[in-house]
Order: sequence, then structure tokens, then C-alpha cells
Amino acid sequence: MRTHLREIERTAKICNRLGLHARAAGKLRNLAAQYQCMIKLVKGRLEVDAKSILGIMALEAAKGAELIIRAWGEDSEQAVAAICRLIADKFGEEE
Amino acid sequence: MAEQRRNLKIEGIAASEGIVAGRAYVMSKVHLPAHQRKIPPEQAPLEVKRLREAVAAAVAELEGIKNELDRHNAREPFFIIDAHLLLMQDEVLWKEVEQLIAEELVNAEWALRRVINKWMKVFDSLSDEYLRERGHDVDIVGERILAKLIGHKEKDFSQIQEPVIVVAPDLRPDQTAQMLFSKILGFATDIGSRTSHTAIVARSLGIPAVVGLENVSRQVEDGDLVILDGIDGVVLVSPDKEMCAHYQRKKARFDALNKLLEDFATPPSITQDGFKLQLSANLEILDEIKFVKKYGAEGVGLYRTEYLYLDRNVLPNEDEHFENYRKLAEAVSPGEAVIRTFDLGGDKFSSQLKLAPEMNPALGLRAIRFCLRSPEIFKAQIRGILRASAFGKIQVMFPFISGLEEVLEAKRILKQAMEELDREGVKFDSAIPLGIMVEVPGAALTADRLAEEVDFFSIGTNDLIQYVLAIDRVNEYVSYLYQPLHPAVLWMIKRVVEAGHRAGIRVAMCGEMAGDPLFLPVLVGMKFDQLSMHARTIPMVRKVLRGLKASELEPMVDELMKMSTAEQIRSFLQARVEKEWRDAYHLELGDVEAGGETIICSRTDR
Repeated sequence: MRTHLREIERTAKICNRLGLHARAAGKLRNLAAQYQCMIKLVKGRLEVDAKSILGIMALEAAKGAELIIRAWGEDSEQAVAAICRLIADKFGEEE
Repeated sequence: MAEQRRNLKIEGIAASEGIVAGRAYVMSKVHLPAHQRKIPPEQAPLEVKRLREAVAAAVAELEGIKNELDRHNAREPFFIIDAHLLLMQDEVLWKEVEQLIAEELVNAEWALRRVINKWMKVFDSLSDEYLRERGHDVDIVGERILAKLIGHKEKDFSQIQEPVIVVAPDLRPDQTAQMLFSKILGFATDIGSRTSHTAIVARSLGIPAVVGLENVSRQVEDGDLVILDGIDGVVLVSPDKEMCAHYQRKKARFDALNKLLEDFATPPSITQDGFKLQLSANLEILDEIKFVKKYGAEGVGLYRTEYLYLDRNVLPNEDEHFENYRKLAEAVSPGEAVIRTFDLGGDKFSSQLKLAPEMNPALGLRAIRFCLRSPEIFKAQIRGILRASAFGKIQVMFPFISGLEEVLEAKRILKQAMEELDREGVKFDSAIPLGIMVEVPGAALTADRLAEEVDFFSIGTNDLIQYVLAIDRVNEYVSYLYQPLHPAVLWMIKRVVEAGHRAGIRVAMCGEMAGDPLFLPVLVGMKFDQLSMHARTIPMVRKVLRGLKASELEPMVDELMKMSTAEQIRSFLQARVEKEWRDAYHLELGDVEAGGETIICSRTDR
């Protein structure tokens, strides 16, 4: 099923102080929800849906954690780029 | 049965001030039943529809609560309600439930319960304590939706017709907040502490509450007459007439006193002849910051940081320290806040530092001694404090200093942290004022030397008295010897003030002695610069201060220093309160029950 959809994969490093705590997780989830494509976050052996706040929090991604962002669908490229930007921007949290 | 509970007194923790009486409204916490039911395949879409409707109804209910809270300007519990709303909007969660309904052909209730349990398990296994607690939120959300599914009506506070006192094992912060616009007079719970969310919400809304009563939800029955004393943390079940009368008076007195003291909830803090004394607040937790404004505290004279370390498995990191202190700095601005580095060990418990048991913890490895032995833990806090100093007026204070070497060593670490931050290009206040607690006799006696190395002293009387008089405050057999007015104690305090002033530095007092109006004339006479105390005692101390004359008090202190016992000094002061300082100390409470009462200002902090 997935193969004939456009699949994008990129790696990002969590660099905000608090990691993917509730607030950052909420922001990531809200961003992911704006896209049609399916988006998964992978950390180690864990894979969760980027549109699920529960899933994101359960990743327990602290500062320094590496995430793989994987997306399939029409707007997958934009979605992955936007998520990587959010992570690199430290979720807009001031340092 | 009711007879057995006559005048039953249950002691707990005072979570929010006030005294109320009323019938008990007992809530018991049981998980709602979710029975498994097999369904025929054609019914699956119907179950999915039921689930969706239940979720929508639960969301609407929470939105409703939120709007109502907003209307009442009670936004403290928003953070928790928003977190629950976010969970309810988690499509992935509901898709999992739908999938279970369709694949296993079970009813919505059963599928929901299984998915919720699964996620609670996932969160339970996390190592981050904060994230682990989110499992509790998942549970609450699941219960709310389950309630909609099975048509269970939670005992709804808005339906209560008569004023009642809620008695429950535990309450959620949003439930607590709803009490604001219901007929609930106050609440009593089995669990909780002064710093639990429910207690904080109760205080911020002014709902009297007693928590940590252990068994109250089983000891009290629906309809029992109950008196809730949120001042002393007591619940009285089925009180008799006399007990009721006693509490009526206590309540009237409390209300009248608060009303009168409103006039003194703003600076200046000054004697009749113009001697200024800075009255600042001691804070236990950050949420108490609102009382700084409410009671007109002039800054924060002691921010205890131990709570950041307690009840957790991992030590707070630098960022947590920073976040916490930055909020403090911003909230207290334009005033200043003195942050005391952690005083752990001794009588304070720490779950994660795993200190070996000591024979004499009060004299053992604690506070600055522990910090200097574990510089990494210490430095995380120091760096957090320094970073926060870029956001407001922060001062740093080291506890339990016993001699000069410790001051120099602590300063060396502080300097190191500053150099690191400089290299990293992080902003901080390079002139951050640095002070020490003077609470060990050795420090008090060498105050002259120490004064040259620091910007301020703060005398911690609780410990100082304990060590000067060699008494264990919590040992009931010797606690009568705990005498703040003991000549040796006064002599030592006076010496510290003089040493500080000779070196031109500020001298403060932050122990319980600072908040007792009876001692105020002595402290003014000794020319203290600052007294720091529980914020709510500030108006009373300020009232007394405004009635005193500093010029009379300096010679009075000289008189006191010639006396031989604490008792002589106390009687002397009390006689003055009765005669010469009547106006300063007396408060006319006016119509308390039987027409008028005058009280003498005395310590209100417990």
C-alpha cells in the first residue's frame, strides 16, 4: 500500500531543553494534524503516529534524542520539512 | 452510629484557610464498571457511533467547565483541562478503540477500557517522572468518556441544592475549581499535601480545605454535620453545641481579623518615627508568589528550593532550576528575590539522593556541606540561578554556613559557574548579590570575618536557637527550652546585626521569630534591615510596626540585654504590649458574636 505513495524520511535531533514534553508534543501534534499524509515518528524501536499527542509523549524524547520522521502521501514533503523546522526551532521555546 | 462519631476530631493538613460548617457530601472513588459484551458484526458501526458521541459529549462538558471558570476568572486549572481536551482530541486513541470494536466485536465500553489500560501501562513504564504522571490524565479522560457511555452521572456539584462540605478520597483540580460556582463550602480529602494541585487551586480560589486526612471519606457519612477548620487542618464530625459555639467564635474572629488587616496589606513598613524595615515573604513553592502581592510583601526574602528535589526519582536539571527561578524573578519584579540553595539532609527527606542514615542528621552532612561534597548537583542549581538572574533581581544565599572556608569554597564554585556561562555566551547578572544564612553559632560568632566576603546576612533563627540552646525542637520533652528570647540567643543575634552593619551589609532575619509580633520591638531596636516571614503574617507585623517608635526601642534593647532569663524578657515585653504599646498591638474586632472583642496581635503563622 505504502509503496505507491510518496514516501519521505528525515532524521532530526531534539535540541530544546525540555525535549518532547507536553507543550512541545502538543505543538508537534497540531502541526502534523494540518497535513493529509500519514506521519510516523521513530525513536529506537518505537514508532508512533505524529498526530497523536499520546504517542509523541510516549516516545520520551529528551534533549539530544534522534528521531526519524517518516511520511507517506501527497503533502509528505511539506509535512516532514515543517516538522524538522519546528524541531530545529526548539518548538519556539526561548532558550 | 452517629453517636459514636460525636465530636470526632480528625487531624490533617491545612490546605486552604477558613472555617465552615455544614452537612457532609461524601464522594467515593470507584472505577466505573465496563462489562464485556460480544456484539454481532452489524452492530459494530453503532458501537463506534456511541463512542464518538460519548467523546463529543465529554469534550463539550469540559469546554463548558472551562467557559464557566473563565467567567469567574478562575483560570488556574486551565492547564489540566487543556491537557485533558488535547487527549480527547487524539484521533489515534479513538481509532484504536474503533479497531478493537470492529475486530473483536466487543462493546464500546470494553474496548475503551482496554485501550485506556494499555496506554496507562505505556506511561507507567516511562522513566521521566513528569511524563509518567500523564498516565493519570489518560485514566481521568477514559473515566469521563466511560461515564458518558454508560450514562453515569458523576455527582455533579452544580446540582447540589444545599450548602455542603465535600468529603472525598481525592479531588481533581477541575472538580475543586467547580466548587467556586456551586454551593460547596469547603472540602476534606484523604490524600494530598499543601503542595498538591488541588490544595493550590483551593487556596487560589479561597475555598477552605483540609487534606491528608487519611481516612475521612470512610469515617464520615453522607449527611453528617461537619466543621471544617482550614486554619488548623482539622475536621470535626457531629460536633456538639459547645464545639459549634467555639468554632463560631473562632470563625468570627478570623473573618474580622482578616478584614481589619486588609488596611495593612500595602507598604510602607515604617515606624512612627520613620525607621524603615523591609518586610518580605518566605516562599515554600512558586505558586505562593501571588501572596506576595496580596499581602504587600516587599520582595521575597527566602525562596526555599527543597521542594524541587522532593518526591521524585531524578534530580532536577539545570533547565528546570532556571525555568523555575526565571518565573520567580519575573513575578516578583520590580522587587527582588533571595534564592536559598537547597538545604537537604538533616530533618528533610530526599528520596533520590539516597543519603546514608546518620546518627545526628541535624549536625550531619546537609545543606552547604552536602553541596560542597557534590559540586555537580550544586552547580546545576547555581547555573540555573545565575541564568535566571538575567530576568529580574535575583540574589543567592547559602545555607548552614559554619565558617569562612565554606563561604570561600562556595564562592569559588559560583565564580566557576559564572566563567562557564561567560564562555558559553549566556547572560546573567555578574553582580548578583550573595548572602549567607547565619544559623550556626560558629558563623554568628565569626560574623565579622564572614561579613567581608558577602553582601548580606540572613539569620535563620529556627536552627540558630536550636544549636545555641542545644535543644531538639521536635522533641516534646525539651521543646519548652526553645526560647527565642533567651539572653544567649538575643546576644548572638545582636552581635550578628552589629557585625553586618560595621561592614556595611544588609542584615535580615528569616526564621519564625521574624513573624512574631511580640519580638518585633526587639528586632527594630536591634536595627534589622529586613524581616522575612510567611506572607500572610506581614499585614499584622506591619500594623504593629507602624505603631512603634524606633528611637525608644534601641535603649530598650540595651535594658533587655541586662536581664538574666527569657522569662524576664518576655514579661517585660508583654507588660509593654499591655500598657505602652496598646495602640500598636490592639485590634478592635468589633461585633464578634456577643458584641465586640479586642485582640492582641500575636503570631498567626503555624
